[in-house]
Amino acid sequence: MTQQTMLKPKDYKSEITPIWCPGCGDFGDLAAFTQAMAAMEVDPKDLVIVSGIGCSGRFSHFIKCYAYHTAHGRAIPTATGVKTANPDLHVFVVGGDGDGLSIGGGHLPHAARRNPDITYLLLDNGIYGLTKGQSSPTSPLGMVTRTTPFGMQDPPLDPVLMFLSYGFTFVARAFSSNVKQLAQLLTEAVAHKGFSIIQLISPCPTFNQVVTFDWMKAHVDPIPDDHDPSDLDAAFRLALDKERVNTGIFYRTEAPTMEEKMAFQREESAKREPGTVDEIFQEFLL
Amino acid sequence: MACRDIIVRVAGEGGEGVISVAGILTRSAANAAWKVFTFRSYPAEIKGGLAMMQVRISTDAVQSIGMEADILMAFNQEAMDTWGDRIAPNGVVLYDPKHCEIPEGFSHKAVPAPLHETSMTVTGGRLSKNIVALAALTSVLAIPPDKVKELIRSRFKRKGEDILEKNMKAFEAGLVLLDGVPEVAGYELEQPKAEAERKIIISGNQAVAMGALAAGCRYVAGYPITPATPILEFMMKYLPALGGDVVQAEDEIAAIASVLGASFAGKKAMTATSGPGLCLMSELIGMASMSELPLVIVDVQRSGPGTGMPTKTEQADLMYALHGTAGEAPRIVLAPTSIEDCFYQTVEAFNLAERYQMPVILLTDQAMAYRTQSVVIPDMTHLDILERDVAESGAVAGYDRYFDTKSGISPMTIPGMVDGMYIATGLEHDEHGAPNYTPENRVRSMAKRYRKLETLSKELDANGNGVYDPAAAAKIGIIGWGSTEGPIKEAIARAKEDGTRVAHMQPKVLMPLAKEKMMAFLKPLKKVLVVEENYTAQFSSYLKSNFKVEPIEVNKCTGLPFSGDEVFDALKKHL
Repeated sequence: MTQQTMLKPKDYKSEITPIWCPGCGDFGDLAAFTQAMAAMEVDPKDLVIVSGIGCSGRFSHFIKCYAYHTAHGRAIPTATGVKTANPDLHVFVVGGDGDGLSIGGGHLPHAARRNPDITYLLLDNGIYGLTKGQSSPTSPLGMVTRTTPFGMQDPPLDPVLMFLSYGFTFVARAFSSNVKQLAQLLTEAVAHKGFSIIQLISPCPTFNQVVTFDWMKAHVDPIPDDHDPSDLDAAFRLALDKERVNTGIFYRTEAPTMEEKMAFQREESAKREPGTVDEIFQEFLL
Repeated sequence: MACRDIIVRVAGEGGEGVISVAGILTRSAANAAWKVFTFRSYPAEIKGGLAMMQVRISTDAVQSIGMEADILMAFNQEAMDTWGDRIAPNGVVLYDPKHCEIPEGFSHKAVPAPLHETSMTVTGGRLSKNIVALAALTSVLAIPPDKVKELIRSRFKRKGEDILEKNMKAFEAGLVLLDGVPEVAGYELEQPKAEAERKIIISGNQAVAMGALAAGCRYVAGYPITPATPILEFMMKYLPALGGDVVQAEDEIAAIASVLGASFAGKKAMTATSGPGLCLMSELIGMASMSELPLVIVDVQRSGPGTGMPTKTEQADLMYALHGTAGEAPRIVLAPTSIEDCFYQTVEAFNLAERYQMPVILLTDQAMAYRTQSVVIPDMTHLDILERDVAESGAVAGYDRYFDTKSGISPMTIPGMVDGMYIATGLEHDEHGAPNYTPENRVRSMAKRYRKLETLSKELDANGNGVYDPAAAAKIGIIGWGSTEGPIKEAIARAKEDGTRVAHMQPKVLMPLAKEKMMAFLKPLKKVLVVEENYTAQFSSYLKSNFKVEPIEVNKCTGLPFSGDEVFDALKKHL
């Protein structure tokens, strides 16, 4: 379509101005997202972003698309409903570490099992920013926050290890400052048939003084070129490397999508059951 | 003299086939054009424990479970001990002497029916004793045995010729088991008139599920919970063949979230749950109300609070349905009054959800959800099916999703529509959908969302939706909601026989109320009884907060539904 080919990254921005703090990592994520959309010529009318609550939950407000800013932690099941209802849509979930790993953590393994063709950007800043600085499930050990004045006592979750364990079919990690790599990853995630999930480390310059841009730059490395993303053992070994923060595609595999399974359900049901409501009544006749 | 109305209870160990006995009896009687009304009591155990199913069979229309049993078929001692004192004055207990003794001084007729022994003698095993019981009841009630045999045949033919043969033998033996016993004479049913209309026999849950399919529901997500699970199971079986999708979610929150996602994407969508599940869903009820998305939630009420009595009935989620969520969130609450009405009110629930773009909660209850009744087959060609008001594609440049209108209803767009992009958000927002916390916008937005309920309330005043029977010159009236309609009607009919007129109101839309209509109903009455199955008289409180009225509160919270006799006894005290 002519309209699509004409769209530039800025054409994907909505008229709502981001509320994020100056220097927020989420700006890089937004830039990469609009670049990827333009590169893939996604028509905004077919683009749906479902977001949860938190700084990153506001992401959906800033993109020109059909957006659904739902309750805290419920973006995954909401997006699942959207995609099932209309598989032709490009459906994204955007949310933070608190939204996705704490309050909404129970939905993750089920998203992995169902494998709907959705892309999830988990914007991880290791802190609750919107509520002004409480600890999150990815806050590093010892980190002082408003709810951990004596230092964080519980070890952080490792999102990539969780995603691999849950059986997601596309697992990646990225860093918000590397916009080019992220835009490329996004196009690969969208091209993937099934649920693609990206831990997107997006430092919070206001409330997280531990995982900062400088710390990240000193620790981040692209995944080595010789890594085979179809090798789950290798993916686990990479994820277990606690010295470096590897970015790129850890794992990628094929599995039936939720949409395919729903189609199977419809076909099987159609073989056995009536095709009209009137015929269903007949089954209950006296 | 033949009976016109009889209650049969069959009780025994869960797994002994007592439910099948009553089930086949019900179907045979309904087949032969009698009116039937069943009720089941469950053991809490997964297998075993006392199970009881009763069927009320009548020559005339029947609207409630009735009170005491005319015939109790007791398979064992526990059945006798639990149900033996709930027998009508002229009732009879048929008991299996192998497993049951009649206590000394028992004041009713009691007749031994050797179910176990007969099954052993005729088939060589005890498994057919329920068929012996079925046959004994068939002969006592004078139901045509051929009708019953047909059903046995269709039920057992899959299990092989041998098993079918044994059961047919057991049936023949059962038919003559109580021949010539004088105590069982006089229970023959009077022949009903043949019916012209075609009928189906369904439960309340099935009626809700069928109503949803008829209304065009094409997405269902749910999480198993007693007593709503059969709706999810029904949908899983039938909806995909109609082109819809059904998802068993990981919890109730995921269920309602995905239903909202599907609704956002343009599908008519529903979830079904019970009280504890409704609690989990309540945050997203507010989300749906704020972002103005159509949504249907069925709450099959069970006894609460906490885990409560999951297999027992109650009408105690009313206040929660009317108000439950954060802040003030307009929603519509419907209460079907019978099994047939479960079908039509579910259709209505979808119509209202799509039209008014808000959550619609349909309140049924365990008793109505699980019992079965024969109802006239719905005529699909006469159903009114409404679709949501969708803005015209391509003509929505500068589209304001929440454009303020006189009715409060703003045309929607659906993802995929050109230029219809908007954000559905739980944040307070302006007409475009952008977050806006200014006092002016807040007041305007609240009024806009609540105006939709005012629009509907006026419509209800004009068209009504429920029973508003002033019973000319009546000084006393009964108000009920939901499944109490049947027992209330029976009580009012009995009062009429005694020469007393009683007015009756049973609104089906509980939020919003048809205020003018209800006011007109209440005005001429000196006394009003509000009958409901809960402890704190919730509907009565609700009425008191809306009208100048001091109702006489008639409540029951035993876990069992009202009978017509109970309502009549309450009414009698105030005549």
